[in-house]
Amino acid sequence: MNRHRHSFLFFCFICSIFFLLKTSAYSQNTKNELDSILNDIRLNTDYIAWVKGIDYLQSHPETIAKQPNYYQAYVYEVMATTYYKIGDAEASEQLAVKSLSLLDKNSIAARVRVLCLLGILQQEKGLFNLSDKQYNKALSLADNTLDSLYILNNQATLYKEQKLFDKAIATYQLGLDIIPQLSADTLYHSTKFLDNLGNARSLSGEGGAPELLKALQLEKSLSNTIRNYSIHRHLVQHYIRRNDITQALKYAPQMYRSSRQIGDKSYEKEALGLLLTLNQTEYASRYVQLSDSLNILKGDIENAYALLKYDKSEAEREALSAQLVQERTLFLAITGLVLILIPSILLIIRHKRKRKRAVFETEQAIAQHVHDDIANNLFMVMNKLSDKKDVPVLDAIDKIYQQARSLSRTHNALDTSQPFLQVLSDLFTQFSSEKITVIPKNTSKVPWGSLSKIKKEALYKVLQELLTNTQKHSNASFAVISFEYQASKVHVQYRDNGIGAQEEPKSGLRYAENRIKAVSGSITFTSNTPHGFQAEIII
Amino acid sequence: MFKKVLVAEDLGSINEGIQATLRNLSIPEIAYASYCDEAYLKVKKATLQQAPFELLITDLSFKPDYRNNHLASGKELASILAAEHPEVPIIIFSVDDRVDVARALTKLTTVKGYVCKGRKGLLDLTAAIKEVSRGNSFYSEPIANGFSKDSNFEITDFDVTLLDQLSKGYQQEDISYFLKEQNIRPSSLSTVEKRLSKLKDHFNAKNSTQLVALAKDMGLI
Repeated sequence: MNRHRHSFLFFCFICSIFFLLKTSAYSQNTKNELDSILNDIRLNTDYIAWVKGIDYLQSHPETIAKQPNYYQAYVYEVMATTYYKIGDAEASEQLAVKSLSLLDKNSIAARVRVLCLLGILQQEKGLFNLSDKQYNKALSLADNTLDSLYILNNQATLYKEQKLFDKAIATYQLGLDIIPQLSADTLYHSTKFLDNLGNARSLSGEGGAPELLKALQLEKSLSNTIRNYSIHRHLVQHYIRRNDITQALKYAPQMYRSSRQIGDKSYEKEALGLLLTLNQTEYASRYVQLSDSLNILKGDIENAYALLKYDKSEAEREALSAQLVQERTLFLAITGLVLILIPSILLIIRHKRKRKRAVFETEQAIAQHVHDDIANNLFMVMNKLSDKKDVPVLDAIDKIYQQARSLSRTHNALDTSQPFLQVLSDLFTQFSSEKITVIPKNTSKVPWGSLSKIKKEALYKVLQELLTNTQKHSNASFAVISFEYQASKVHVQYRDNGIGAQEEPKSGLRYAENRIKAVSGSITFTSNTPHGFQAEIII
Repeated sequence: MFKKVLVAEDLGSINEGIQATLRNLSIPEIAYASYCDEAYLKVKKATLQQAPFELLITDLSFKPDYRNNHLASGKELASILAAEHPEVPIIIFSVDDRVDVARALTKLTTVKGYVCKGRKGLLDLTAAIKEVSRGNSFYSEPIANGFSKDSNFEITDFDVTLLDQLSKGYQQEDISYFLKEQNIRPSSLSTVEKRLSKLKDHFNAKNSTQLVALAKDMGLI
């Protein structure tokens, strides 16, 4: 027994190991797949690739949900960044928040990145205070100079946009102060910050040129085309601001060359724009041509993105229609069930009613036999004997005849063509004789039409039984039958002034009880010598 | 007296008794039918041959057998003949002595007699034939008793009020006054008198005192 249990547990253990291996292998596979897609999106500069990558990620939420939290956060971060690049700020913000909620305190770098993204997004929305808050939060988290520089640069841009140039200048200077702490790329960052600082000062209206020129000096040993372009652009803009067109024109050709070297047409377009401001009209045709091709590119991106959105809503619509189908199936199932249940219940009720009716029919058939065979034959015998004047025998046969007739009468069918009130009255008159007076009370107050035929029949037979009982056994001189109609039920009080039933209810009364019970009514008997026999029927 | 009579009865032995009775009445032509359908057709045929039956004596219950009968009972036969041959009077001759059954049948204008089979059954039948031939009607004792009584009599809440007042020792005048006070209608002295005398009659009471005693005994008040 014990061994069995061990082996069973062992079996379970093996199974669970297999299971674990299988699931981890599976998640490993999917993770690799996700990794490659995420890399595709991150490293690609092609809009279509972004849209495709996003599409894949959007349509596989279960795959993402299976990954550990840090990885999910990473996926959402990449998605947020990509959405930002595509230009859907709304979706980007949602995913950034989702990503942030999944990151724990130790994932500092990731948190800083996401916070900065949120800062940028909010900045674009014009929510400057909120954006500033995100940057400050990121700054407090940041544990290395590089991250801090990145944040400071963003924050300074924010201030610049708000035209808080003093704050922007202070922030750039703070950046310049910490650059020496960097282990590498100090030159790159110094150039960048000097460039930006110069631009900020230029914008503030005081100075700017010394920083920009210093940056230009540093850039010579850096040879970074984008930075080269940026510095030249800032210089051109600076001299335009200062209305020194000669100086501006001095830097403009290099700005244009750098912009073309970058290879991104939007830079070239920007440079051309500045050249046109300087009345360099020979660049106009190139500007128009570039603007058109850029617009086409923009249109392509928008189309691709619109397609993605459409696919998404299509998928949603499919899900919705699937749900509708499910609901319809459920509705059909319930309807089907009801359709089956109701006829079954009706059948059961009908079957019960049929059985009750069968009892009555059998009873009537027997009554008919008693009537047709026994009573009629006895009558015939009586007729034959009447010639012989044998009185005692005749008396005896007459008694049997009377019994047979009474039996047949008790069980015979009720004449339903007559109003029940009349039928009842006739019953009472029939039992009224020299010896007994039957007194009904409020018979006409009962709405007999509302009582079912089967109940009327039962009530009739029971009253007949009670009256027979009174007539035969009680020596009563009165029987009072009071009717009352209460809450859709007929209450009948039967009372005679006879000697009362001496013992247990006679068989006739037991039949009465069965009859009333068969139609879900109730009957109670009370009987004592001074007050006669009493019964109460509720039907 | 009738000259031509049809008897519808499915028991031959009873027919013998009826036959003897009819013979005693010197009725020359007697026809028999064992089924309602047969009786119906015979009545039709006789009328068509311009020798109609002058009387039909029929039982109510006919035992069903292999034949597929259109008319299953004497009641159906009487109903259809009353409508189609109002010239033929009918006497019902049955074991059934229920007043309500007889009342339903005697509502048909051609049913002139209802005779219960019993010890005096054939004597009653003789009397019935005689009465009907004179254009009268005849009912056996239990039925006649039922018909003679006011079957619609019942005690009402009004009667209970009267009895209750009586039991408190009030005179009829007082009761009439009380009814007026209570806005109970009718309330006239003559109504009270008539009603109380009817109650006495029904309870077989000799006077008001006995009536109150009986009502009390029966728990009516």
